Amino acid sequence: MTAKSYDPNTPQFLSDSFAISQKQVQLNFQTLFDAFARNHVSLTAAANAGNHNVIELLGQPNPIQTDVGEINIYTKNVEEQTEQVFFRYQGNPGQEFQFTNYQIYSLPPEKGLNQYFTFLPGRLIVYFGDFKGATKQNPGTITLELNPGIAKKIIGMTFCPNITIANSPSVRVLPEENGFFKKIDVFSSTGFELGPPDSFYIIVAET
Amino acid sequence: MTYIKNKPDSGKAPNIDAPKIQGNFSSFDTVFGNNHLSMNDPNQKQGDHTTIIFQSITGSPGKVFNAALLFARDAFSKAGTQPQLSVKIPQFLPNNIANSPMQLTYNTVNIIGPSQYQSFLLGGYLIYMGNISGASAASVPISTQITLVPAPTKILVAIATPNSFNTSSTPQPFDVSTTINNNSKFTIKSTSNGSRSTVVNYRFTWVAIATV
Repeated sequence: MTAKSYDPNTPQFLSDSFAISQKQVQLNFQTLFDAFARNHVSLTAAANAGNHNVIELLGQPNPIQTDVGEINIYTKNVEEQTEQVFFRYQGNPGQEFQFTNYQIYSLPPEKGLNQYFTFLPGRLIVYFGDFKGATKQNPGTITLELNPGIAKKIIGMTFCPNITIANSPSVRVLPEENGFFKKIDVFSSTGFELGPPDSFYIIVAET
Repeated sequence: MTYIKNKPDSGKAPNIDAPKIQGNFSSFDTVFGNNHLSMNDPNQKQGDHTTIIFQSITGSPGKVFNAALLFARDAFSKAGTQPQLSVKIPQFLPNNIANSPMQLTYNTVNIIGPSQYQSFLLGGYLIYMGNISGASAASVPISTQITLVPAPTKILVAIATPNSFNTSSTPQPFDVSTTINNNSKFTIKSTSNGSRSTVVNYRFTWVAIATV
């Protein structure tokens, strides 16, 4: 009998002695052991055997189905992106939504600008930070650049001055560039000031 | 029971190694039953997860292809170092940025309020929301300080919106601005009712984002 990787039909014959099936039985146990060791605390660990040390979600070609009483988390390739984590709630057609969206990283501060971003489930990106407004030396409109420039639709914006006491600025989204909205003009809401004041901002967009 | 990979021994009578083989099957069933539906699940869904307990790991998993990784590892915050759930997706745009794991969770949320709420954002950020109200003293600007709980490492953004109007002949919303005072406090300021001597009630809603 030639041993192969995993053969559930072992021993093959009721009359087999262990001398015949021993290698395959051992290989089956070894394969179970090795397979279980992926993502899990080892079968022979002194503690926590069966718990997970990582979960590797291999990309699935299609949405994963769910029954009532189940929710699902899985990975699927997203066009123009990469493998992203998805959720699906109970019962087909339970709503599927994209959970992860982009690689979060630190944006270096620029002159007069501190910018950050994160994302929300549903392929939304949240830009936030603060910028230095207009001054006597530099009056006029401030152009705020969204970084990373992957916003396909701006769906919410809020601004608040961080200098005493000023009017909240007004904003205008500049035309898209190659399908992405990358810049927002920020200006005085009253028209009587030099331009927008120093402000905090939060902008939510679809990607 | 102990799992013994190199059983059975060759040539021995089955009654010698049978207990050890049974022990292996039993051990596998017991261990597999942690986090997973039992091997004998009556609904034929053995292997599905019932829960997922992560043992915290150190460092970052290596390169990821055609997959996403979920795992727990220590994360630093103002509250101390605690394991948090992280995700690592495959490298993609921008190509010059390190493909680092992203922190998904934080160890507490506040959804009780009623004047302050708190949750978390992916990437190691906390988001706080709330409201504050009172009566403005006549002719005195409002300056009211908000203390974020739990205390974050650094407040990045503090945005307030007035919900009140002054008593001019054409009532206008209060002006408003914010100032970050330190890692956990910011102040909402407004001229409120200006120089008018009338006392008015004020209310501001606000949102702040901070690093954990």
